[in-house]
Amino acid sequence: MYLDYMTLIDLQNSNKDLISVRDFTREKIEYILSIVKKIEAMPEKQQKLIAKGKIISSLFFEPSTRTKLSFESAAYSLGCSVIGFSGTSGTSVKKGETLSDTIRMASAYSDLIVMRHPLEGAAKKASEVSDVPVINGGDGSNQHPTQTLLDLYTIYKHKGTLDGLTVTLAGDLKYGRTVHSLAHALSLFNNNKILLVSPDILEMPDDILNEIGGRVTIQKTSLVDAIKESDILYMTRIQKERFSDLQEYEQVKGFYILTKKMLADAKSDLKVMHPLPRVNEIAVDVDDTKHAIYFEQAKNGVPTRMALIALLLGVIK
Amino acid sequence: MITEQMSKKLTISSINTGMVIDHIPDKRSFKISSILNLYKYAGSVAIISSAKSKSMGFKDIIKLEGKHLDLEEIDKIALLAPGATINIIENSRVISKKLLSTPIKINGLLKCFNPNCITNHEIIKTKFVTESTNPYVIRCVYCERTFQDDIIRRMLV
Ligand SMILES: [Zn+2]
Repeated sequence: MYLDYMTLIDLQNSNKDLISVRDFTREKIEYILSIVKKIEAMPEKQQKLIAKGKIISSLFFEPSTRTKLSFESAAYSLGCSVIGFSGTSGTSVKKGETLSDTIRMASAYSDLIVMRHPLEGAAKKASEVSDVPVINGGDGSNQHPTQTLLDLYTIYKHKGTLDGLTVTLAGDLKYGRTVHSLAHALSLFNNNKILLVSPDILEMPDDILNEIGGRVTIQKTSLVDAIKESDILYMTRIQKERFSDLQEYEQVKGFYILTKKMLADAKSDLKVMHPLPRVNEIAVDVDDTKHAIYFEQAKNGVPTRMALIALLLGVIK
Repeated sequence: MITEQMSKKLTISSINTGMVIDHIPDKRSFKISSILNLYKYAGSVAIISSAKSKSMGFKDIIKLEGKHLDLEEIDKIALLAPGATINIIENSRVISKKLLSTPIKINGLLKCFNPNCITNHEIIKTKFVTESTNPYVIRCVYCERTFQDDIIRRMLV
């Protein structure tokens, strides 16, 4: 017997912060996306006034250039200033300061904390000791909720809905937190079908399938077959290091590389997404097809993070 | 071998004041007594293992003379032996009987099995929530990993 989903949300949820996709409801996602849309439509000058004078702590206990740039660009675009660090060398963290103490200090100096940390659950812990809102910018292999929201916003922008879609998740479905969270979020909407394409050793874990399986149709298939019926094809990288047998890697890798030629059978409005950085799983000849939206997807990170910062600061409705 | 009939005599009828934990899965009483540090307990303790049971085949029973367990200890037993019953005895009579079900929130009793969980790197009281009772699945509130049956028993501290 699985407990009612809303009971679980009540047990874990805190509305002050953005920590996990498990805190999401359909209503919450729709509300957030409506704010992203609103902010994106504003002229830059007006955006700059939304959170003018607020201070954002950007605490990257583990470096991540892309995520950091996207968050800080979002903060500046809202008129905020940013303090913080990237990597812990030369900081009090390196001297053995606990996470809780670092967060207490940052929470005293700023209005909101954005953090990335190599350990799972660090953002949740931070949200418990912080007086100001905490946004999780990635905690180990656990969650990266702003990535999920920018993915959803990108899908919504192109499809006009998050219901009734056939979405293929391809590549590393075992370790890829991005695809776990996206599958989770899609299961909160109606009549979605999720197609899974991965090598046997990188299949989506059972606990995730159990958690969302009752709410969404899930089917395993091949990339070639998935392309024919998908509305969204979400590609991820398969890392060579995941294979203990390199010969096995060489044998399977070709099945998970997308080329322009393979898209001949696709629906005309199929959109191809990727969390980036891409290595070779999408051939460069796909880039200038009407299907490729992965660069735009990355750009959507800025308005999405602007909306989240503004919402949690309580400066927009 | 002890029959259920005999074990009832051994436990309930012989206690004046205290607790009888009944319907413990076979052989699990040893783990319970070590987790609860019953070897340190000053009063008398009886552990009856592999008693015949109509409903369970074999079961274990623990009798504690003069002792009342606190809520945290009862939660630990519930984690190790969901479905066990706790009988409170006063003046040689059962004055209350409680069926143990797994707690919805489990705070501070377990060590998270995920080495990369923040709770294993800083001094943080662990928190888990029960997601499913059959199979028994709990989720760490911090790292959000889920753990099942046997693993959960190994996580007890
Ligand atoms: Zn954990």
